Amino acid sequence: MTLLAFLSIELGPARRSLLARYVLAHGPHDEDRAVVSPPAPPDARHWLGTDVQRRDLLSRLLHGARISMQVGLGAEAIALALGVAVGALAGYRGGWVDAILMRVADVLLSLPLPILAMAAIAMFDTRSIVLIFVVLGLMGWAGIARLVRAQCMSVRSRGYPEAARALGAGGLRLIARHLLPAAFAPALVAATVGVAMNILTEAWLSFIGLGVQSHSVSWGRMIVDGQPELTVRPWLCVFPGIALAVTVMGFVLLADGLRDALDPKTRMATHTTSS
Amino acid sequence: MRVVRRTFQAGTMVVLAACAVMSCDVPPPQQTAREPILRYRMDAPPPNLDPVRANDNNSLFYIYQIFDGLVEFAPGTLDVQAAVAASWTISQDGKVYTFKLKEGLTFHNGMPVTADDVVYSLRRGLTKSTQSQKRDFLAPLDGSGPFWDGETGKLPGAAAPDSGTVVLTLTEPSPQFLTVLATEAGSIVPRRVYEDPEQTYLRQPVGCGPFTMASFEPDIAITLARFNDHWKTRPNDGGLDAIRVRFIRDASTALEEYRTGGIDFTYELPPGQRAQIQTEMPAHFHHGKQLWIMYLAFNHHAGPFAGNPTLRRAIAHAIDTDYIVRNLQEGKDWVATGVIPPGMPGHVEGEAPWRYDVARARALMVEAGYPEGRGLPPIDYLTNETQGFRRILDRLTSDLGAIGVKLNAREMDFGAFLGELTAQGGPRAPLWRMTWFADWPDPDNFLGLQFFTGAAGNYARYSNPVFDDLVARARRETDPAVRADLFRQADRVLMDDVALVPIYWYGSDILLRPEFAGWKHSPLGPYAIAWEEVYLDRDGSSG
Repeated sequence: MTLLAFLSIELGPARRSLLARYVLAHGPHDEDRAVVSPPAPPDARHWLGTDVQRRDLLSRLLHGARISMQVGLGAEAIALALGVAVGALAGYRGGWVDAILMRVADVLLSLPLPILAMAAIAMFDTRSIVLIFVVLGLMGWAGIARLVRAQCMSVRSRGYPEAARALGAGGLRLIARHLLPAAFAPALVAATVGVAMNILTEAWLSFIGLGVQSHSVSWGRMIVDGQPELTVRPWLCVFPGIALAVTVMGFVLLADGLRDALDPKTRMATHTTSS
Repeated sequence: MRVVRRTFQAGTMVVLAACAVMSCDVPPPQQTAREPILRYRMDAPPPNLDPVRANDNNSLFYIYQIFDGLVEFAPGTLDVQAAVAASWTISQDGKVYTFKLKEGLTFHNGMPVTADDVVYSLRRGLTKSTQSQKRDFLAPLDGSGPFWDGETGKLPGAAAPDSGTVVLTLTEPSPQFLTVLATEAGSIVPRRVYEDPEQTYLRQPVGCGPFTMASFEPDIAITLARFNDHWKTRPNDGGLDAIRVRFIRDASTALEEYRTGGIDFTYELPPGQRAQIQTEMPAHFHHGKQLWIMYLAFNHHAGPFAGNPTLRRAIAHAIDTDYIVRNLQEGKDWVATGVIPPGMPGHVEGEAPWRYDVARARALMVEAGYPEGRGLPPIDYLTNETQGFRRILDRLTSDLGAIGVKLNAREMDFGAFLGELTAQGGPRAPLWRMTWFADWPDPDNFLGLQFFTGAAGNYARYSNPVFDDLVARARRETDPAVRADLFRQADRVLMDDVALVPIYWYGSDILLRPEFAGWKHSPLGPYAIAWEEVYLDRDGSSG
């Protein structure tokens, strides 16, 4: 749902949709001066109500998806690139290169990502979205690296990479054509879960005041702004909470589906059962 | 997929079970005969229990209960009345104060209160090594500068000719000096205890105030017990035997604790619930004024607002302070129409010198040379990051955006924020939000300390000879009415010059069970309520 909403904002043709017309009618920063006593509860005019500044909550929720997606996908892209590169190098070279890279990964894995991110972000005076996803990306590659390394080492011990080497394949070709394809599926599944974790971490950082700075709409910030009024104005906090939960669960289910689709054993089992 | 399905099922069961447990009725607290003990809620333990170091509301609550000074504020007012002093005289030139102490007073540990203790306490406030925060308070004492700097060990401004007499000498007349002595800066400590190099007094403070420190459970609670030998007579049937302070960080949790009878007093109500609480518990809800102000400060040294009163006025007209107070502050605070808050001498009653008027603001932007904000770079705006101030920031961004002024917000923690304001050469940002509260309740503390040329708190580096002259005359003036009028004029000068944009004066909301009677709001804030005057009205006869 959230992804669709996100796309409807980002893509031109979708602007003709009902949702997009609604979003265009109420910008995330636009005030509805007709609201007499803000925050207004959900009604026909504001489907999810307004916040205390008389801004439409649904519009802010949809625009907040943008931050969550940018952080989730951006950070994971960095983590994936780093993780695959480090894991492939460690798995292919082995020896001291492997030892050093994996000890670095172990150190990162031994520290909780949110705490690490919090410490890194707190060092900067201003907090932009780029800073947040770069920090999350730089901190989140170790799991993927370990996975890719294990896959590479497993494949390396089989015969065909040796055969390719005997036929004159260089190191890069060996990694790109023979080792990485085997690691692709698990890395993609791990990265998909990673997107969900990044979205959660961004929300958590916003919750404790270390997320994107004011005037950027973020679900975490919406939750923290609405949380003190949960018992009296639940719409302020519950809707962004639901959006966050649904999105995170969506990515987890997507990862589950990807694993089923990309795992040859599962595919084979499904095929055997259906036939 | 099967794993996910099972996880879903298990999760749903857990959520349903939790809902079932939470929906069970909570049994009401057992009704037993009330002991005269006030169960007080505070959000956090006090950072400091030393009167010369205490600088925050949490700490000051304990200081006001545990310590007494020569004089004190009469409950509910800013009038100064005798405390440890039995009487005092002021010399003709206004420089020499002679205090006679009450006889037979003792500290909580049984030691007698002597003039030597009073002098020692004032010297502590001017001693750097105690990490005193009270230097500015006690600066009027003769010789305070060299003494603070360590150039001399003598402080001629404080002397004890005999054990029952204290003589304080000022370098020049200071009509606010008695007010200063009524604050925590005038707290009297027993010399023999506070000379202890082990500093046990930091956890076990000893004073001669109406309550003693009975127990301190870190991060859980502090209990203050009635000091039976205090000089004040107990109210009605004996007043409170003790105050048990519990630390409950979250305001919503504290409210629930209040509703279920776990505490008798709380302040700082959770956002969004003020109107509901007023309706739900009208006899418990009390609203008072505080000597605090929140305003927008302009950089008068550099940036677009320096030397451009028209642009400053445009900003002032663009901000909807009514909306801020009514909706963001839920009506707790008052729209500020000047600097000096209500309840303080020099306060100007009446309308704000400008109104929220976007059309007028736009016209002024044209006059200032920035039609619709064209040519005006984004304005760096400094604020510390709290939920309340973030709401204000959102409001300002919207209001100023309507006249083409773009804010570049820099939210930071309080330490960094203070660091920016006190940076060498002054803050670089052209605009910031500012809260100021009365260190001591005198208009000079609001005007002189913040806007006098070169003053320590003049972060904006505002300078106006007309204003300086009025404040300088007020500082010398001994007639209270004339003095208040001079400060009133100085306040108007600031407003006419749009030296700042006042947003609101603070109010304070508290919840206190109606069976506690005899209390009065303190203009200083809830921390300074005179709890020794409070008693338990068991039959509700106090009304």
